[in-house]
Amino acid sequence: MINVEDYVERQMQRRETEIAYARILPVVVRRITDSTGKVLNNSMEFDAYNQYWYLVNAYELPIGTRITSDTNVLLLEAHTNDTMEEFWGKITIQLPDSFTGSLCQALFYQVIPK
Amino acid sequence: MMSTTRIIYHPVPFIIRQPLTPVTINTVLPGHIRKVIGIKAVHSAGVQFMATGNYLPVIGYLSLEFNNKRYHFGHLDVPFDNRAEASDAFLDAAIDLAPGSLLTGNYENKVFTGTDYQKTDGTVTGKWSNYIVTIYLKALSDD
Repeated sequence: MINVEDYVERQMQRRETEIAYARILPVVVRRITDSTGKVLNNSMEFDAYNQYWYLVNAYELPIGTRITSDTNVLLLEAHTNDTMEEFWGKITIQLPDSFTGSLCQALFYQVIPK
Repeated sequence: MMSTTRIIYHPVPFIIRQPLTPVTINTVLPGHIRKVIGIKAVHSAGVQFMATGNYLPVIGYLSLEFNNKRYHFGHLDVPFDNRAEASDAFLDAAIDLAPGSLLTGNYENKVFTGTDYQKTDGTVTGKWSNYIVTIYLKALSDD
């Protein structure tokens, strides 16, 4: 499994960018249905400009989850804990139609550069 | 011998094989390219087998980063335009390139995404046609 702090540190060094602040941040996506079971919402969107967000727990998200941002688009087609995806900008997390739970937690490592 | 700088057009093609799967672009640009002064992304072939008309304003979104992910150029709408009056203009750019740096990005298809093109098991139907998008970089080269 990739060590997220080491990975991010190396990524920032390669870009000659210094880290001002970093933390682990959970993002909860709720699947909301009406009384008939019709899905009203199963996505969420938030702004992450001028910062880097690394998805830490891709292996815990349902297959078919789609995460889009200004710099990356991820369609989760298989579970692995050996990848580290980076996002920047407006991030949208869309749960697949096959997901029937009520909430899902994506864990990000947020990096704010100096 | 004195080196000369000239304008070249460097193509970066990629193929879209499935409607829902994003395409990742990850290529090293030739070391002789010093500066990008224009960019355009065009549909090369394939969509005409799916579209009924000869113009779709957006078939997908393209995000591009230069200089080993240090510079995010932004997003481009990629149109399908088989009309005679199709624009061949470049978007202005002024990006100094580190020699041999990465061009990275991703492309997200936005058309023909229904279940009549991709089945729930992930395989495409006979109605889907793979298509090619080409990024053209108008660049200054030392070659």
